[in-house]
Amino acid sequence: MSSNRYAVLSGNIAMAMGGAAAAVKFYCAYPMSRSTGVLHWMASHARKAGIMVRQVEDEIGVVNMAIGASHAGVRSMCATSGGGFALMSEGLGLSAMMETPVVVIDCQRAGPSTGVPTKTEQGDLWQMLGAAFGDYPRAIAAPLDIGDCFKVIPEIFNIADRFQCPGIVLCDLLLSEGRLSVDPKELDFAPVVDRGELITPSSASGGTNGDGAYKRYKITDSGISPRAVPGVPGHTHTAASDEHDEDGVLISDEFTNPTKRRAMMEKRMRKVRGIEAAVPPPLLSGPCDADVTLIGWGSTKGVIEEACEILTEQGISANQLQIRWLVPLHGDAILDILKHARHTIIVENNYSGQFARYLRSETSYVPNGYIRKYDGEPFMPHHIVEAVKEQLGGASKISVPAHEILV
Amino acid sequence: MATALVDPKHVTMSDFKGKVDPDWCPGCGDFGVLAAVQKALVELQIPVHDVVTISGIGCSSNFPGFINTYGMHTLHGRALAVATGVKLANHELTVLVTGGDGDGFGIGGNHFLHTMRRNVDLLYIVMDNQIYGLTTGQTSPTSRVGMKTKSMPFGNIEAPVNPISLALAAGATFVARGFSGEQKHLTELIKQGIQHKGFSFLDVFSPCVTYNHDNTYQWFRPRVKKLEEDPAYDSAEWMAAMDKSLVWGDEIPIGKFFERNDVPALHEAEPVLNAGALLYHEPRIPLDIARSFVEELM
Repeated sequence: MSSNRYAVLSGNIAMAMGGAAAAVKFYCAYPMSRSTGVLHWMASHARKAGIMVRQVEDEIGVVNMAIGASHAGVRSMCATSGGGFALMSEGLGLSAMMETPVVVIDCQRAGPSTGVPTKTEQGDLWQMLGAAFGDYPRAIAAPLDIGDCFKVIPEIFNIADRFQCPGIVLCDLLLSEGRLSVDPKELDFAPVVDRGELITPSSASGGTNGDGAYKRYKITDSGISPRAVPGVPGHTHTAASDEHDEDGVLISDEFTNPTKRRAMMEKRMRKVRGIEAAVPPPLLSGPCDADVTLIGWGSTKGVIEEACEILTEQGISANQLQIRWLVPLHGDAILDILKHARHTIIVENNYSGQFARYLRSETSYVPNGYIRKYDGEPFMPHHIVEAVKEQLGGASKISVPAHEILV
Repeated sequence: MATALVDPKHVTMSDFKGKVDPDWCPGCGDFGVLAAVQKALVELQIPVHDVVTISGIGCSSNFPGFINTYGMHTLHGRALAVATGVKLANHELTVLVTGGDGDGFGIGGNHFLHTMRRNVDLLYIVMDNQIYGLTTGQTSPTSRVGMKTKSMPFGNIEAPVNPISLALAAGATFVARGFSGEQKHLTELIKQGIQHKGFSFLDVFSPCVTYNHDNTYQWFRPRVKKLEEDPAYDSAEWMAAMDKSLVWGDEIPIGKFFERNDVPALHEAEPVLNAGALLYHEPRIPLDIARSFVEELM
């Protein structure tokens, strides 16, 4: 025991404070259970923190308002749960097409539809992967614990700003409304803030006249084009949801142009490489030559860790591969880690094995077994321990532990 | 001579000319709205880079591409939500929102209602042609009962919305109607709408010459009657405006129905903006304030 004083907080408060640390200036939301904690913290601390907080008429308005504020030059964030996120999906495409960054938090709860609003699940992964139509670069991160809920926000803002694309934080009820004591040292209010290639009226190049040569969507090797915000002299342009040329002029309707369309598509998609390089691959924790490797993502980090400890005590050595960045996934790095594994099991809080299917689609990797839970309750360590023993004994390849405590 | 003394900052019609010419059908009412907006901005001498023109999707929503200002051509129905974000992030900008009746009163109806009650300081110009034009002629929320379109070939059986009464009921602080065939009058309304501190709604009859053969220039011309020509009409009277908004038939009023200036615009009511436009705030939270946030949790 140390004599340090700890802060006790929920994941929602951590994400809200992470936003304040990340220099978020605009936060808006529609009340939706599992995410309202972010709104409540933002609203009650807005004036001290200098953050504009708005409650909006629906989630469609939320994402579009956040994009508007971001387009005018301030960092903007919003949070919701699965149903609200479904309404935001078209807006994410707008963010991608106009190359205006926005960060959206999804606090997952048991679905589909209204589902079990007061219970947890990791069932929104494919909604995040497939949100909005068309191909576009995006970043998706799943925080691993409540302290990480704070840390992930500045990180994903730097990615969204640098690559001018939407960033999604995939949280869930377990973290959002769970509480943990966190060392205040982990709550860093002076993280790196990288706004990327942004031209504002007060930035150096913003004061000069662009003499008409400025191209908002200039084709570059990185796919990133300097972004001027309204108010900068000499840089007027239109940002459009229609496909457009380098200077923002539409190449849709009667002006379609296959060559230019291809060039613009490739320009945007080149950002995927940059995002991948900017995000670290996942790491294996525990002994390399373990009897079993447990693979999880996001909020299951703690319970899998505990299960590994119990298994080790019982003579079964176990290690853990916990995925934090879902996009970019770093599939090659994952394969490199897993090729040495003796027996792999994917643990996740949903019915269909959403991450298992995603990993397979990206890498062709098929694990030895699966542990799943979709009764609305999180895993308890013994659920995983017993399922691992059952699977190592060859009894089954897929385990769905029953939740013994009914509340 | 005047030319020798031209102020380099003086803006002219050519400054507001867009990169491309409009691709609207010849005779479209939207040409008149574009010209009136450009003229109003010149008369008010607002620099091009301080204006943001924001639209949704539709024929009239192609507007931002045809004018040289900062522009955002967003999603169908979502222009007002985007515009609210822009205005709140930098309220020093002049924000114009342009779109059509389907965009604003159909798919965007919810944002229309709430942006009005919030009194966001922007001018919303609806080019109301009572039809969906870009999708080649379907019934719109303002199509009259009985009107035959591709989507209601046997005639519309649904009552149209009344945008003026709707705006008055929702708390818009400036409500006006113009006609694309009345350029000088329209320009004046646009100027007033831009100068008004708060939400300005301007519904403009902008005939679709291709798909709406009912509500044509010829149909509107003898009917429109300017409120400004009635010395007894007082646009400060909300009830009078509501009464006037219901007048529709042989006589259709155009002009400023209503204006009040005693309601603060949203950015004026928000204490966070006492320190100036959000864009110019210090990005970082002072560390002593950050520490107080953490201390609350200990």
